[in-house]
Amino acid sequence: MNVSLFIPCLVDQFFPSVGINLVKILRKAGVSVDYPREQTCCGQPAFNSGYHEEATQLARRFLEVFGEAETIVCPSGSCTSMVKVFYPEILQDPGLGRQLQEVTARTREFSDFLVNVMGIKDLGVAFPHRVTYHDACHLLRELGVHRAPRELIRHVRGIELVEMENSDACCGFGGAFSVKFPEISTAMAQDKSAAILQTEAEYVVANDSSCLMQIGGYLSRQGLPVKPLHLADLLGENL
Amino acid sequence: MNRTPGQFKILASENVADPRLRRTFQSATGHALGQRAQSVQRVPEWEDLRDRAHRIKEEAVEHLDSYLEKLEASVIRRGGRVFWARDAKEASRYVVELCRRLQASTVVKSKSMAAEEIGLAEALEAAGVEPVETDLGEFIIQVAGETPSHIIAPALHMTRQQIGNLFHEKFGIPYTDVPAELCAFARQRLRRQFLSARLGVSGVNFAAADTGTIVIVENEGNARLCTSLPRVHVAIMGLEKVIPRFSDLPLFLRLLARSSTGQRQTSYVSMISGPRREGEWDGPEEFHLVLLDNGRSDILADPRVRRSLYCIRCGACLNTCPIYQRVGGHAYGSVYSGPIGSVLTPLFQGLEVAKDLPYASSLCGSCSNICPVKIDLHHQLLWLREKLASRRATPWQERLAMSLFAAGMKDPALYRMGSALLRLWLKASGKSKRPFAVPGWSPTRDFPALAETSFRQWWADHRQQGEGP
Amino acid sequence: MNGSREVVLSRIRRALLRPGPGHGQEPASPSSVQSPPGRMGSAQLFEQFQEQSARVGGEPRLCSDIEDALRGIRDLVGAAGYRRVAVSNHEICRGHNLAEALSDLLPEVSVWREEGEAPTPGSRRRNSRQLAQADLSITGADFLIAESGTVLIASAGCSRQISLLPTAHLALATPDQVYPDLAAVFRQLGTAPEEGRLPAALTMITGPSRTADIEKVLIKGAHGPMRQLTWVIGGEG
Repeated sequence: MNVSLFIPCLVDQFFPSVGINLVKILRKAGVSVDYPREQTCCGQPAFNSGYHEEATQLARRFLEVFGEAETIVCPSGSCTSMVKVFYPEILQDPGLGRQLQEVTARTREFSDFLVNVMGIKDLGVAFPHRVTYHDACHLLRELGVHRAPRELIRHVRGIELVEMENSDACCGFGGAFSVKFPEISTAMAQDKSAAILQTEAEYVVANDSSCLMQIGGYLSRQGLPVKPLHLADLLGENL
Repeated sequence: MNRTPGQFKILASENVADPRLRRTFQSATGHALGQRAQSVQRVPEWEDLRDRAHRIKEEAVEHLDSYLEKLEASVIRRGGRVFWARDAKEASRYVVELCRRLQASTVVKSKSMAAEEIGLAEALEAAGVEPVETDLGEFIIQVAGETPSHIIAPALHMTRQQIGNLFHEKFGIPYTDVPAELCAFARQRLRRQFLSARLGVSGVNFAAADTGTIVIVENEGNARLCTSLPRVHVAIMGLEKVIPRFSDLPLFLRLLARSSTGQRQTSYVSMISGPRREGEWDGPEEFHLVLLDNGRSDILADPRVRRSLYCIRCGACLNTCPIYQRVGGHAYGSVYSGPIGSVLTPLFQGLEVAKDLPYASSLCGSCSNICPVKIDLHHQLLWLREKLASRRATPWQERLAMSLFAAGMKDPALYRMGSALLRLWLKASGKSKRPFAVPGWSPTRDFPALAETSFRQWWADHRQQGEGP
Repeated sequence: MNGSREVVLSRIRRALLRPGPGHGQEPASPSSVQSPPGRMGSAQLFEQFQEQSARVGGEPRLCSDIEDALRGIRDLVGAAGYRRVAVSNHEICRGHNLAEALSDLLPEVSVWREEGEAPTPGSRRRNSRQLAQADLSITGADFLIAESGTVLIASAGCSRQISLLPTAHLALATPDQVYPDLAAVFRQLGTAPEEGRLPAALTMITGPSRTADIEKVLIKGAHGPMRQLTWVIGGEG
């Protein structure tokens, strides 16, 4: 199987290890990996702020870049949902119909891809630590992915997964929301952190770098010991 | 207490900083959510019920004209009267005129979001008629000169001590903060009003077009009193409350009570079809139904936000919303708060008036997820954001940033070059490892440093070294 | 009064020229049947009713016959110290001559009967004041719903206020009045408008009046009865 990587701009610029580890994981899973270098951003920042004109231009570009891809895999539930859920809402051009349908159908978030497409739950990884998992909103509610990441975590040797209270509650990131309403956003991060601390986990794992940036940013400012960890990093670093 | 939706930012940050208020809202919404979850769990076909309710609301709204005409005909056939009001003023004036004809000096009111929306109480006061709120929560906030902070529990923001002090000061009764005693006082005081009022005003939860039946769902019994004791009953409903058939009611009743309070059934459901009939023991001599447009036909005109008219006002989206949980209802500056308020208020009052509300969401989607009629609330917010941006009602800096962003992202060479130049500059100025200072973010949270090597660069390097695919 | 009928309707029609997401689809089917058309065994149904009613603070009970129910009322009145009892004109109450029977049984209690075939506005008002003084009202029920422990009373046979104003309300029913759910009751009612069997007011009562408007604390007897009792007479029990 050939997989084309869709690496969100945040990962590209700030958290490249997530992409690098995803490459390792996919190779271990026995698929051939390609990175279309013409890709930039899926357009979500513009779309979420109401700039549909700009978002539409980037969505069209995405279809061009990934039009021929067999499978598109992305280490972010949020960017995946932009493609799968929101592209069909903004790209009303009937001429794009088929291509749009194919690209959205072929795009998968990485844990969903591993577990539900490849049937892989155990990558033979060991990580003897106590972790808790945060359900990223878009991954959970736009894409309905709840079990796949947990399956992958449970199959890690030595790991202890402790569910936090309200793991499905938003961390408060929400893109521009986090800077437009910093007080509310921070209050949400505070409550999320409290739930995380209660589990006494060493790591908080999630599948979206943006959530981890928010949670991690708050934890480190407060001098709290829990570390944010992307599931791709957890798995890839320990392969 | 004249709050406006334009003040959301200020009010929200004030409220979030008030630990007592935050605790109050978080525990109240948490309680309601827990009750709801328990009762929904016992309905295995819940998702199917939501789907069906969505389709029925869709049918009603997509054929709103014909169902409203049908409703009108059914109400008239059963001896009621129907008044079409294009706006708040017309609706209020109709009720005021009725008071004049009846020479009514007081009006007993049960809880009605539509009446709140049109400012009926203020209109009655201006005409010299005393509006008496009879729902306990509404009564409390009326005495306090407040506005509701939750669709279902209007006095959610007040503590028992505050209410005790309020009753002590306003009515001269000995101070008590025992909820049952406060409630008993209100019951006794309002009984007198019920027994003497000539006009009762209620809202409407559902109106069945085929039978002309209006349905009122409640727990206290004040709506029953308002609709059975006074000589005249006026029910005020937003146009969108019409449902096609009486036989659709069991479905909606199952969804509504469970979603709002977690009850299987509220204490009372009144199904009223016209005024008292010949030979009946009691009931109003006249029944009036006010059909309120007040901006609803404008909402209807935009198919992208039309679904917001499916709302059955259960309040579940407020309870589950992480923003509402932390800022409370008053921050929204309008009778409708929470996610549904963020959608409806800009549509009712104008986008420019309520600019912040469509952005008052992290787009987490838990509102859409909980909505018993499956309104895609957070998607509706996205459409409102688009309306604002396309009207150039957003800040110019943001518009500029977005055009630059799109231009840069459209051109991969530009993106690559920008990212490389940025790194060079950071390196040259010795800031590579330093976290970015982001306005709005950095005062409370650390922002990561830019990675020394982007993923894109890593891929290129490793491909050259033959480690690539 | 027409108000802005034509204005509003034409706005709506104009708005609907732009079809929405579900326009032109098959119209939604009426809420489909939620219960088997036939009735479950009434004993089972009453059991479910009893359980659900008790869950929401109602006081359901099975009485073997009217004598048993009268004894129950005597005990209830005695235990709670009720002084004024109001009896409705519902056919179940009339059928058992309830008001007379209670007057004989409870000489120390004032028993008031709702009367007058076609009450005038003045007598209705007097009735309201009487009822507001009553400690207990006794009415019939028209339907019971097992699923939610609900009592349904139609305005055709019983006043609206008698089940509402007194401090406690007792509804008497018979075993054949228990239905699985509201949909089953609706089928029985025959809801087609031309049948006209829908009373002006059909009231569903599920447990006592309640409120949680002060700090979410549950209080019984907000505006209506603090106690709601439902007794089924002549059950298999």
